[in-house]
Amino acid sequence: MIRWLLLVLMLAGCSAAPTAETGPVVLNLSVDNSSPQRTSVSRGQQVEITVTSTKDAEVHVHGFDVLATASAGKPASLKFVADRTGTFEVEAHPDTLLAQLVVR
Amino acid sequence: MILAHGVGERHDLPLPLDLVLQGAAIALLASFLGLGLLWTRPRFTPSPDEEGRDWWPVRLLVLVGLLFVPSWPHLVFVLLWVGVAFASMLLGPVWRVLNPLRFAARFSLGHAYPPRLGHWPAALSLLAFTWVELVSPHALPWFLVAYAVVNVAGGVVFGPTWFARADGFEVYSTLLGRLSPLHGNPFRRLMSTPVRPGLVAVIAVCLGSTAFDSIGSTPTWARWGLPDALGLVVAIAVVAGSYLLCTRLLGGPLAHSLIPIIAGYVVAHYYSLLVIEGQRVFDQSVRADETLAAPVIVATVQVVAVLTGHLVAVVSAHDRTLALLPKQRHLTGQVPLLLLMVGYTAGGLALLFAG
Repeated sequence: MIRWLLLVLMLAGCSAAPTAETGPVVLNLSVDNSSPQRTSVSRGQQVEITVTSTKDAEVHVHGFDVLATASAGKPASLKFVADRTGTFEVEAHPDTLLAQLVVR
Repeated sequence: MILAHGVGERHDLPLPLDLVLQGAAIALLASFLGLGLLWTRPRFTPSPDEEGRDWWPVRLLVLVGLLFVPSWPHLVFVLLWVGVAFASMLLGPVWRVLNPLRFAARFSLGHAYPPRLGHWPAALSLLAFTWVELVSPHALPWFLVAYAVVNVAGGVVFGPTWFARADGFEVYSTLLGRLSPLHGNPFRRLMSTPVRPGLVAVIAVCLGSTAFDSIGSTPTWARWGLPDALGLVVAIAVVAGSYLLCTRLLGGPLAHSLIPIIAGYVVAHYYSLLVIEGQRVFDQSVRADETLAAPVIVATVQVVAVLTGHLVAVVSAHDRTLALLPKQRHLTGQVPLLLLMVGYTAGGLALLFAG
């Protein structure tokens, strides 16, 4: 019985289709005074991140290979579809954490 | 884990809060039920450690393989640190068989290893490794060179005993290997863990560093802006301090009972890393298949691993305290360590949830 239940649970986990939400997740972040928080995203949802910085900074979303550069007066803009589940860091290099995306 | 050249790009989803609370409640209930219902006379006799055979061709293969390593961070952080831990739990002390540096023991000068040193060098090398893993991953090449030099020197001076007691990876692999079902009853194998100076330090480094790995990757920790090095050292000190406070003089003889808790947390913490990054060890351009890291599977693995580790720990601590304590203190004497284990388990589950 338990074996069957586990099997059903696993199948349910594997076949969960990406759920498309209506609107994109929009984040406005700053490198200079970063106060990282967690943001929930549904798998398959569009994410749009704008990052301002007074100095040149390379901004990177881990796990999605999205990269952009922010400089004074010219914010970085990153757009992508969150197509895998997990917790991912939005980071200004070398190691300023800006936000975490929790994709379910 | 801090980004180390593409390892650890993805963290697990936070565990749902209700699972964390239910898990902690089960751990608490089962522990005190166990206290009342388990046997009242020690049941497990230690089973002696077998002298492992010298599989030098395997070591030679590993040594030759090292010449073709495509990505050292993947090799060290995924295959060695996580892969060897999982393999040890399943198969036994595999690092003793694989470690290519053990060749150095063939040219040994045969000095006796000082018993006072015990596992302290192993605790130090594990601390250095977790420092590299969690605080400054870019120091990995320096660590590997230093590790090789120290262990070759130790092996030449003291022979095989050096590796069995002072090599951090081998001590870690051998401790976890006691849980392997292939080498007899894991409870008896745990019981036969030799009590040596530095054993508690090794355990505290393993448990504390894994705990800090979770703490250090939360946004809350980033907002505090404290140095990672401080967090790592405090986490290890808290584990060591709380354990010694709860066990007093019995710290050494009971230390083996924390091994299952370490194992449970290591499985919970690294399962998804192993199934995802394990596919990319030899080729980092591959996009890994994530079926086995689906949220429901990961959450199930995490809760089951942590709770199983807790139960095995409670049973082995129970059996050992019966042998160590006078009869009138059998019940009360177990309570501090039992509460501490519930604390570690609830804390471990909370860390898998924390943000």
